[in-house]
Amino acid sequence: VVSDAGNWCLIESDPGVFTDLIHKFGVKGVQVEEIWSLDDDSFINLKPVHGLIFLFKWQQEEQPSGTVVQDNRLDKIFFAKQVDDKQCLCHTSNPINIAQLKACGPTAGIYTQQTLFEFDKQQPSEDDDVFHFVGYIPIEGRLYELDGLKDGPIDLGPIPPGTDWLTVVQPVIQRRIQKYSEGEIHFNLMAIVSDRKMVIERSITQLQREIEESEGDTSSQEEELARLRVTLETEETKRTRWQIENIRRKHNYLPLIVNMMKILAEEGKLLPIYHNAREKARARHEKSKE
Amino acid sequence: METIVYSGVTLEIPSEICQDISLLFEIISPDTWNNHLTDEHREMLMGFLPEFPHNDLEEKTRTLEMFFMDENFRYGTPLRIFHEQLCKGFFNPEISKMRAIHKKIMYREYRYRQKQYFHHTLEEVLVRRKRVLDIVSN
Repeated sequence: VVSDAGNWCLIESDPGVFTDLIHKFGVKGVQVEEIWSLDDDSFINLKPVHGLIFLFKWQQEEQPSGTVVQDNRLDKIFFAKQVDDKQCLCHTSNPINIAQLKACGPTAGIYTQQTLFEFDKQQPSEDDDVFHFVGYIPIEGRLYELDGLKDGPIDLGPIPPGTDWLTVVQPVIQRRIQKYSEGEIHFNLMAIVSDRKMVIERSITQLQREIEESEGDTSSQEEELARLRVTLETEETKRTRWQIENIRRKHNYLPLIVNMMKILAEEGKLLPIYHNAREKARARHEKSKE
Repeated sequence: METIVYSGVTLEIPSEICQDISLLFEIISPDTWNNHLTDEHREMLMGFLPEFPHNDLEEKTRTLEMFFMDENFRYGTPLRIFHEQLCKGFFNPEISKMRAIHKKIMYREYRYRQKQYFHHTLEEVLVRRKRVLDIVSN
């Protein structure tokens, strides 16, 4: 039992920090992106999605959504149990590889010999509580929920062959979002996706080296290089667009709505517009009755 | 009437809006924006949009368009989220007071359950440690 919080790393619920953490584990080629809706559209740009991380401010008592795995599947699934109260952390001494990392969704922090991350050293106050994390991943044709506060991975049932696992996890997440929106619990949803940009950049560097070292004809390599540069540019444009979308989505639009109404009310226009709208609605209603 | 108290603004809104969201979409609409507001109003309201590092004005215009056209921002559109909150009494001072109390109680219950969980886990760990120590000493 670890009592000294100094040995633990605290991390923020930010996709950039998560990505960094994953890279420091030595896992390459993946990154974490925040997602804002469960529409198929929002997943298209991200696919393939290796896992989802659902994080929320605090947890109410709830019925387990499936059965806790206790059989020999545990040999293949890496599951870390949360052992420290205040920091929402989990404890693991196992070496980490990609398969394990995929299963390590619910970890808010990882115990390591060297401290990888040291943010927020203060104890969270009552209003400023830390987040709890739950991971969702497909393992060998079944969907699992990994919650560090549970006794083991939770089996959420099979993923029918030929089906994208995202379609299976969607209703599960949807239910959670619904519940947490109603309870005003803050939550984020993040996806572990392939970092295509990094893969392309690496291929470019390698090709450049090959061209430099080669003494013969390099036209085919140069062609490939040009193609990769175009793909890289597309990825970069995509990322810039992402940043803009994130700014747009993180914004609070309530002041805009309320102030627009306030101006209309002050100008004596709110009620006339409202009555007009009601007339229109009534006319529409009459029309649909006919 | 539904009462809205939000960041220093107090408004009374007909509660019929809760039965029919289209009424809200008519009030907060491109038509209202274009025909019922002055340039000063529009400029002032634009200040409530997010700041963008590049092409700020262009992005703000696009954001406004998405806002009016009910495009998905984040698990719903700003207007739909507002509508839901309004109808649940989110902006009503009485209701929000009760809600805050409710939240506090739920939080306490959560802390209690957390404590139980960690107590249980601690026991488990101690039992396991003992078992390991026994194996080693034998």
